[in-house]
Amino acid sequence: MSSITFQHNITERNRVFSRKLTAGYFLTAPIYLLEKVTDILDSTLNKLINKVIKGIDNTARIIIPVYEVANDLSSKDAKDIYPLIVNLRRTVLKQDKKYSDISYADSEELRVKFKKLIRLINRTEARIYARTFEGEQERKTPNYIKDSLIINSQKIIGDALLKEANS
Amino acid sequence: MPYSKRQIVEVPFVLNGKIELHPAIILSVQDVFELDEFYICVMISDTDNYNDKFSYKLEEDATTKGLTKGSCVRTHLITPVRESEIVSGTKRNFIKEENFGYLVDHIAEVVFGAPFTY
Repeated sequence: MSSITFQHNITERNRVFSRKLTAGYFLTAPIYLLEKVTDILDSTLNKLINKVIKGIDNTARIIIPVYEVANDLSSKDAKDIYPLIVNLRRTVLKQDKKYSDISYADSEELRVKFKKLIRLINRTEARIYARTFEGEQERKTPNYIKDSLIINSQKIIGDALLKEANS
Repeated sequence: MPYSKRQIVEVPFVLNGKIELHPAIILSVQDVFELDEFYICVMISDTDNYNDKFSYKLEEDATTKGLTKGSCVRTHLITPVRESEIVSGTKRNFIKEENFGYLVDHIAEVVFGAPFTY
């Protein structure tokens, strides 16, 4: 109805002044325009979400092979790559925060894609980090810490088992 | 449950009759505490002397309040801690959500070698 009135007003605009039509125009045009603008924004937003999802998929496609070969990296290569993956993680986290602030534009797919990508990058970073220490001299944890942890764990687990047996 | 996941607490260790305090991050969810009244924690070392794949240096902005510079999480030192063992009165400090996510993934990858598929 509103669009008909709107069209009518446009075609009638050079005719004699009509109070009814003019009032109708000013009442209905904003609603019609709002609907149109909302449709356009909606479609733009969907296009944007699809573009971001595509970008996430492309990034994942690049990272997956890195994750798969990371365990075979030399310490030198790992040290070269490590800062890059740290930067990538920070960048993706910033992007994720940006989209999280707008509730991922109500797109569950976008939220899941971001979370999965972050996990992939985290795991890749951890794998590369571990490789940077290949061949390094390791410093052992002091015995008093190890002993405390073990005694503490055994006691707590023992208590839990006892509690279970008595229940 | 006065403590919660991601919170950094202080846990005492006895060394030659003296008590040594170590910060630790609570990894476990509330349900663990409700079932058996302990928290699963991972130790933090406040010296950066450790140079191994299990020692993950915390970034300066990784916690809501500052930690000693060079603090690193000893990701393989995971232990249950009773509430009574936690030193009360320490300032409330948390590892941030995104850093916690990384820490958990680091532990899964490096300590447990847990499989992962995208």
